[in-house]
Amino acid sequence: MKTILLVDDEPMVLRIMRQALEKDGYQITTAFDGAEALEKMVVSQPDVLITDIDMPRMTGKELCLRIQAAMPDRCFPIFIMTSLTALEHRDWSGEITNLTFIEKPISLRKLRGRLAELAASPSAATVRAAE
Amino acid sequence: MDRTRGDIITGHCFGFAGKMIQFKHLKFRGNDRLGLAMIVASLVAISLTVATLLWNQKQSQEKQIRAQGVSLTRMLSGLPYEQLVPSQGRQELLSTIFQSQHDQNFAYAAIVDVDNNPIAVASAPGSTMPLADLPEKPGGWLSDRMLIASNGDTIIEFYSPLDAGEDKLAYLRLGYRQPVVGVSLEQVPFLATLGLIIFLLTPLFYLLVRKEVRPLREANEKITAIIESDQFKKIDLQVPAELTGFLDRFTAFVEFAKQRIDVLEDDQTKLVTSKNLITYSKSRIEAVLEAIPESVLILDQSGNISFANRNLTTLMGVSHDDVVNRSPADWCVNQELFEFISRYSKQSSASRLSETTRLNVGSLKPKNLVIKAYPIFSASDSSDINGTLIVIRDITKESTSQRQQGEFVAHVAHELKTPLNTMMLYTEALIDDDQEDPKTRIEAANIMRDEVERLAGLIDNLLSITKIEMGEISIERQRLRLHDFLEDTFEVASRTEHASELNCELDLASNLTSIMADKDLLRIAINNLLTNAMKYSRPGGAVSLSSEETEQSVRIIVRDEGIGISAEEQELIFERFYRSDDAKARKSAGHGLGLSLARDIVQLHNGTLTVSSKPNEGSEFVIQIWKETGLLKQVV
Repeated sequence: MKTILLVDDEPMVLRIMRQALEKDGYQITTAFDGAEALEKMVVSQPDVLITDIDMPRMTGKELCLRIQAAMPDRCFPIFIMTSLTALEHRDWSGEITNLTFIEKPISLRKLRGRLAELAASPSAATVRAAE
Repeated sequence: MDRTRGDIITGHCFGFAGKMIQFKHLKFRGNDRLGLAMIVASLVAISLTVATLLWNQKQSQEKQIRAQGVSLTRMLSGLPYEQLVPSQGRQELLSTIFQSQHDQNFAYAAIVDVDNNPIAVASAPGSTMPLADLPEKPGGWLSDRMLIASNGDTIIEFYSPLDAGEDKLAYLRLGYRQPVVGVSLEQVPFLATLGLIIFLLTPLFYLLVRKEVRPLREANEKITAIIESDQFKKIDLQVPAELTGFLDRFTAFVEFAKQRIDVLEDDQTKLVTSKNLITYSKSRIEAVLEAIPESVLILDQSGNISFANRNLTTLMGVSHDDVVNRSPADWCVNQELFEFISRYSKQSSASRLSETTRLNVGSLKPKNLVIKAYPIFSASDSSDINGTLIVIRDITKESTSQRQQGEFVAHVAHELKTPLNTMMLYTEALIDDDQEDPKTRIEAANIMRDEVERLAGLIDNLLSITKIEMGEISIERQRLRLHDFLEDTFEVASRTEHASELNCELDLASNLTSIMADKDLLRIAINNLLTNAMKYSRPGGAVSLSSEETEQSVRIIVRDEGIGISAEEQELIFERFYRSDDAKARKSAGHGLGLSLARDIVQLHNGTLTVSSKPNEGSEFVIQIWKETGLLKQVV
């Protein structure tokens, strides 16, 4: 069973995503912001990290940068949910490996498809993520 | 006499060169004074002549004494010693010689031993031999010296060693009084005759010279009159033949000088006119350069600053005198700007091209500058560069405004997409809900409704803010019965979903005044405050709307018992898109525009919106709007 760490400051988003992904058989851990996510990561080692960008205390961007600095050899993929599609809003992400931007509004169907693909063939998903 | 002639000629020349000199004071001096000067001069001449004669006489006497003394000393020292000293029955030789001398200046003749004791002495009455040491060893055959006698006479003494026999030595001393300058009685007639001749010759010489100079005097007077009348014309005078040439040349010189002065005056007038024109043009150009909003620098050919407008000195934080006529190295502290300007300080190929660069300068107050350099080519020769015009534009505000605009758009996109995201997630959940769980469907529908409301509220606020920002909103003030208005607004707010679990209270005075306000705008502001208070309240908490009235103003107070706002955040909450970092605040869906818009609206009504709050105890937002009397009082 795969473990997913879900990070978002909108409780309704967390609730509906948890419901949907738990139905698919994933074990879900949630956090309200980047700081809480870092704490949770110490306890449970997630196989996938899905995080929002704009959050209080610690943003998704800072969370990713910290993870990259602490774990340069990390294997698990990160999905980051963003409202801003322009490249200029992603220029910080160059050094972070295995990171995929997914645009809001999020399609649960697409996300679930991507996660299923990842479970079947981690390398293929990694390649797609790198794209 | 020479001095008089000099006065006349100098007076002319100087007058033509300067033309402004007054000639009145150079008129010929009076004859009386000149005659007196002639008498004084002849007396001086007589005195000098007599003094010279007497001096020569004294010199001649002294010369004679020396010749006589030397020969007599030489002769006596050659005689045997026995003949010189007195002996019985024989007249003393010295006395004989002394008596045979008819020189009135002869003072004494003496033979002395080695210790200067007289052996034989012959002296003139009243004369004494001065005491004076003799040399221990005779320095020469014959010597002389000057001595002062006890009676004050100056003595010229000649001395010589003598062989006294038996290896004894003696000395011969001969003394003459030094002659003095003086007039003897027999000289008086000669000197008087000489003086008379000189005295008579001097006026004669004066009269002769005066006669010769008369034509020059007349010419001087005529020329002076012409100059004083300031009308140059040919000088027509009857002069001796030898002066005709001089006068012709002088007239030609006057004519030449007149033409030269005319040319110089003409040149001077042109020069002053063109200088005034240049000054006028320069000041106009400088006024234009001062008026343009950019900072302007002009470098001359040597790279120094020949002009800098006030905008430049303000931008650089330097004084005008620090910049003008200085090298950029003296005042330009920014290295990149200095390097850019320096490229135009030399006559290099770079300085022939226009160039633009952008710089960020300053660390405390960073500024974005666009700097353009334009070579200034000579109007007559395009290959000749007279200097460089440098224009500096401060685009800090534009850049900041562009950046803020970009940030605003990004915020709007984010805030719009957030409710859309939630709606999308729940819509898909509903579609995929194959179990058709009614509870899930109701929850999804409620959430979607809330998000639609949130989206609509956001769009309304955005539109209002945009209108206020662009100055398109116009306040339509009308008389507002505040009691009814607040009651209606409260009623609408308390019927919303947020209010369902809260204890909403309205506390208004029944006789609340009317105010002049824009009803729609004020409703948005109060509604935003009430919605905020409800969103951040805990279930069962109280939210109240109350009012206070004073003589000058009305205060509308929205109070809650919610999560409160920390002191640091109390000013930040009025900024656009500000969202608290507090997790409790984040649990409520907000978009960070409500309070910002409320404050804008209140300020449009010349009022104030303030907050006081304590975390976990609640917040109080107060709108204060001035009544007409209060406004009037504020203006006065």
